[in-house]
Amino acid sequence: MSEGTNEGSSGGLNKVRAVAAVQSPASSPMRVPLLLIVGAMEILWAGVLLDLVGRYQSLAVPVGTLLLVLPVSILINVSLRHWRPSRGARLIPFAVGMALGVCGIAALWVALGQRAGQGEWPTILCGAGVLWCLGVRLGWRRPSFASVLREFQLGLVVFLATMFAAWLLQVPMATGPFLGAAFVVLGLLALGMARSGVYGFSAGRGRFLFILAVSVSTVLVTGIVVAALATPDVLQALRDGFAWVWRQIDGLLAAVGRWFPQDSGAAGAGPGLQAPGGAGGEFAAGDVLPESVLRVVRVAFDVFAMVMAILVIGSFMLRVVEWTRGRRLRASEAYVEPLGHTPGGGLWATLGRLHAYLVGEVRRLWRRRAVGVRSEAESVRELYRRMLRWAAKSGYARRPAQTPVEYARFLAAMCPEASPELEMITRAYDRVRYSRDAAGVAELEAVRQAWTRLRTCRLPRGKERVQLVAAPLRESRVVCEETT
Amino acid sequence: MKEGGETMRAESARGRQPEMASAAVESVHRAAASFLGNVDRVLVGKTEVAELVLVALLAEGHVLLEDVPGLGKTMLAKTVARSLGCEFRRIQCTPDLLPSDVTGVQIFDQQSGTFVFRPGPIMGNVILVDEINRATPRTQSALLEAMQEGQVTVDVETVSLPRPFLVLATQNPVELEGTFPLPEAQLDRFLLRLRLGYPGPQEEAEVLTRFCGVDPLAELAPVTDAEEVLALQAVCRGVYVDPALRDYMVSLVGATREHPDVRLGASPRASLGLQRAAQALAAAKGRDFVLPDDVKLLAVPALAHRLLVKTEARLRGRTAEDIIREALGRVPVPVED
Repeated sequence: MSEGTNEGSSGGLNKVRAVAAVQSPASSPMRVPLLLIVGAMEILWAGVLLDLVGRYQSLAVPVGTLLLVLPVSILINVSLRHWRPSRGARLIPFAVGMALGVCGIAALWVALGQRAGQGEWPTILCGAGVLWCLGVRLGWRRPSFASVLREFQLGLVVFLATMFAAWLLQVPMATGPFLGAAFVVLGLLALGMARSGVYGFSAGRGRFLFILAVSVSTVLVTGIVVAALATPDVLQALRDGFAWVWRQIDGLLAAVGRWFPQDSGAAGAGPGLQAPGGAGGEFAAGDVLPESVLRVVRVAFDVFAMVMAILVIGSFMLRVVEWTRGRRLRASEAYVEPLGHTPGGGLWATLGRLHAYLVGEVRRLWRRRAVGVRSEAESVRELYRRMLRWAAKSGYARRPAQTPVEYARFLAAMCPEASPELEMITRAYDRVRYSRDAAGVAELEAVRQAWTRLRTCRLPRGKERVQLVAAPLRESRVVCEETT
Repeated sequence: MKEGGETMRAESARGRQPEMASAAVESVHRAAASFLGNVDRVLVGKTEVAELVLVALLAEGHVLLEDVPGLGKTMLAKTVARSLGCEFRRIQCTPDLLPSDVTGVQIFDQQSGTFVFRPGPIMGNVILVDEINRATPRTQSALLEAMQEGQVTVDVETVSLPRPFLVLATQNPVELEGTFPLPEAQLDRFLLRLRLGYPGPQEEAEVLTRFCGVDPLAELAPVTDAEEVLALQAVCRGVYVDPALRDYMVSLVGATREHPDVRLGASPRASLGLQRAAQALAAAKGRDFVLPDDVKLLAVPALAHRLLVKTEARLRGRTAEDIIREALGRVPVPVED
């Protein structure tokens, strides 16, 4: 964890957002699973969106084909990300590569069973272009916790909007609930992982599987609780409430729809544009929506799809511009996308924090149990690891070339009242780490007590930290020179 | 200290060297404290240097004291020799000093009618080689075999040197006229290179006070003997070094070889010396295991004199000490993740 992680944690929502915007280095071992999660989300939300568009526009684009074609696009673009043409000649090779990619995906699409009839080629090429852009979007995305979070939010927003539109347009979306559940699981997983970085998890075996298991368990438990609470009376009350909200929206839409010309030709474009549960007339408990309202809905959906496409293409173009300007970031550089900049960021960050808290508590209980059954030496090492995480959480991570004694002196300079505890823990750790001696039970108990006292100490942060950090560094340099 | 030596001798006789007894290490610690206390009675503010000299002695190494004249190099050597209670010899190096003046010569005994070996000043326990860089390379090389293998060869006869054997060489790095810089092979034989540095104002005032009357060196009593020093050395060899720390030392030495400003990095002998010095330092501090702090503390005195810095880097003001410190700041210490 970088030292600057907690700089923005002055309180409230900012703290939550800062927590959720944790960035891990792209070269970390978590890069591959992160990339897989982002890819899965990308496929999910693209699948939902294109499935709905295909059904609504009668394009007959099967989701299965998309799910096969999109990964190809993603793989090509991820490979392209590592392709570094020489400076000054980037745009032309990139344009050539893009054209080839679009053609390749279109060909693949046709080969997978799509028949390119008369007049369908432009549609296929457009679809291939959209897929290519999606692939580019993912290919240029840095696999980080923040990108996973953002993807989760975007995907969830798209999913909810699409489900609403599908419900409104009566387009059958059989896969919708499953895709939604997958979104939630993946999102919670990502949030838990992101928060876990702040919570102090150290990279170790089983970390990924552990968080995955807790995430899935959380979803299942939440589902069971919701199912238990969702009695018929509650559901009826929800339905009544929704019907009331819908009547208000309906009145508003009807008022707006009167501004549009009454053209019956466009009404048949969709596969039965009816409100839920009814047919014909003004909407009231199962009636068909009036044509004016349907037109408004259709226009709104088209606008929504266009906005999404613009966002995707805009993001892509931004990457291209950055690329052509030579602003390629090194792999080690962090690219933090603040969660608060996305719609509903605070809410999702709070949910993520809650979930991560649960994950952290489970983890803590597990470790407490594990400390109890470990040998004394292992327990001392585990307590030392906790001390490292405790200090790192406050922005005082140990530098790789620092010895435990040097690190303890550094921390003692930051927090003089914790000096005896730091010394005790470090001395015990040195003995179990570098000697053949095993710590005794009495010593372990003393170290535990020292850790209990130490964790209540507060290391200086913010301005206090800036003032304090410089002085010990100067002192240590002097000591080093004197020693040598 | 004498009781401590008895304890160690007894444990050594029982063959318990690999499994360090904490009592033996405690004896080393007590011996080191006595030694340093004795040195402090003569020298002011040189405890750290004296401790490193003791480390070299315990690690069966040799020390090169390098500093400007008048800082107490010779005094330190004499104090160490006197404190150890070992046989002390002094070799004052001059350009006309011959190898036989160091090692000894075969002379013809008229009574017996045979050649008899007459040992030179090298045949002692603590040898002060004063101003070593004033001796010719030929004479300097006479010390190579003695320092590395603890023996000298005169004509066809090989004579073992008494143990313990500690060479304390001094040289003045400033006055270079009429001197012969030590070759790399000779420098590599020294376990540590130490610099004393100028005393502070208060320390200098204390020096004046202390040497105003009777010379404190004349009143200095030994705190140990040769046999006990050998036992202490045996204890130090058994100090535990964690494998991760061995890797750390190897990485550190390797970093000096790969550094772009270095023409010749530290040798495997340097790694070995660093490990033995770290073991000795740990024992002197009362530990039966080595810490990374021991390695870091000893890295500069144990490695810097073995590096050959490139000329262009030297012209930029880079020193071997800088390079070692840079490596210390870069090589990760084996600690928990």
